[in-house]
Amino acid sequence: MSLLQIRDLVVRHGAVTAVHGVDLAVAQGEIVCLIGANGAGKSSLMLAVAGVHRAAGGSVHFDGRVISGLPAHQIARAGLCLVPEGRHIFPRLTVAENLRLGARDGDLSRLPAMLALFPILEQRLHSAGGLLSGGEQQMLAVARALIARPRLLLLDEPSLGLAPKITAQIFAVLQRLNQDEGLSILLVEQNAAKALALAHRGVVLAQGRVRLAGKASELLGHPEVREAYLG
Amino acid sequence: MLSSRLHDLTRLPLAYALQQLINGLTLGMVYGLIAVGYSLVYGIVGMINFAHGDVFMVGSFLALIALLAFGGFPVPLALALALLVTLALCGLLGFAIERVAYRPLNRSHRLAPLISAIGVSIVLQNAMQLLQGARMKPIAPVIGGGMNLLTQGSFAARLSYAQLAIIGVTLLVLAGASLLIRRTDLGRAMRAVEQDRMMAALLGIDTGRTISLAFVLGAALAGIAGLMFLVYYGVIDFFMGFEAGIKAFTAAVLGGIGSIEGAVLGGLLIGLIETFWSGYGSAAYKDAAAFSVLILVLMFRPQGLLGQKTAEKV
Repeated sequence: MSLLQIRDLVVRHGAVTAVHGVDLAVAQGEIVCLIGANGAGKSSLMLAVAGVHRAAGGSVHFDGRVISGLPAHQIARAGLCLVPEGRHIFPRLTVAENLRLGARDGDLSRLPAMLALFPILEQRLHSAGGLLSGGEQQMLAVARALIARPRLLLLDEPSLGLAPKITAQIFAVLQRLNQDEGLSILLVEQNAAKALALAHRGVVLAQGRVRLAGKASELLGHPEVREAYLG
Repeated sequence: MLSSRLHDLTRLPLAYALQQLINGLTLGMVYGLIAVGYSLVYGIVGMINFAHGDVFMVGSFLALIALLAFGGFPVPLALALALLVTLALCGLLGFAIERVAYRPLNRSHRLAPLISAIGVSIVLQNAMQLLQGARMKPIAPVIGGGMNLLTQGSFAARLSYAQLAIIGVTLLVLAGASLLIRRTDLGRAMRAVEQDRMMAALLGIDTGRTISLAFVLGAALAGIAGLMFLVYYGVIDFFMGFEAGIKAFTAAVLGGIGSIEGAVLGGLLIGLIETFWSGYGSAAYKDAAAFSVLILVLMFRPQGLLGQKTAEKV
């Protein structure tokens, strides 16, 4: 039984259908990456799974229970945490306050581990979130999501607008958490080469449908993927 | 008449000014308490809650009824009980206003909840008029006595115990509210929902509950202000929420809407301007004076005195 099981998911924005019946699963301890062009429906899928958008059809099971239709905060409390595109740091709260909001019911036992993973955050604890650089904001967004010990982390475009060095640092942290703690990750990434190098499996989305799916190593060698997403 | 008045003022400048200061601060505290509610709700949902002034009015009627009901008790106990009753029932009213006038319109045009709040305001005024009558309700002074701070000739600047109690209790309540917003999980959640509602929900914050609690907190503070007003002026009526609401809203905008400290500062300024204008000029134009200051401040600081410029995220 997969940790996350998406069946025949349909997401609509008004008259536009962004996701047309997608099936996707993430097993416990697995990193799955979702690649595809702009407008392929990746972010719509992530937001629907996290409960921000209501799915127009299909179902989402997480950890054996149906979560489609639940409000976003209940899905988060069930252990599925989305770091949305654009990071969404609270700009007028300090880094420490941003982190505390991630912690569930004041449980800050994971804070030292997070600061060890991203030492820069420790130096910026009392700065307003809005004053951080893009890379620092992304690190804060990931740390804030992980502080509540989610079972599944959904990451939407973590490398967007970041220097390759910062992206590499964040990916290294994700890999370590996956190996050491068995953190499961569903990753949306424009940078298909980096994402497939990190992931166990990959899914290619085109126009709201699954185009290809398979082992990350296989997708890396697939001619269509090479042509369209790897340049 | 003006010349004789100026003559008086030159004879007792300090004591007279001190008296205006005391009166202005007391009035300003009441405005500040109401203004905090406007600021809290506006900050979190961007809605100007036009029913808020009427919550203040309902609060003063509840306080009046409670004070009469607890009339047999010693005055401090009666006041404390009236405060608790007013606070709790106004909090409940705030909860109901959110459920009826805001939540169903959550996803509609942003002007819709503003109109529904005006509707609630009319309902509250008419309900109180039907229940309690249209005439002014007087109450015998609850807190008597006071102390002379400065005597010059025949004029003594006097701080009444009622004023002392109002200023003291308001400072305590505001300190508590400020602590709640700055230091508690609920306060952090409120600020998070204010800044990015979607992200707050993604972190497991029940945004609906947080918004509801902001209405409850604001309404409870307005209820306390209603009690203060009753104790200070001794006369209330069903229509008083309108003027007080407009003044407190002005105070919130003057201080920077969304900022709690700004709301208090704005309230104090409006109270002081009104009192000094009446004391040294004519009571007729005190409201014009207060609103002129608002216009002047907004010309140079559109975000208000302590408000933050809303920087759009890229």
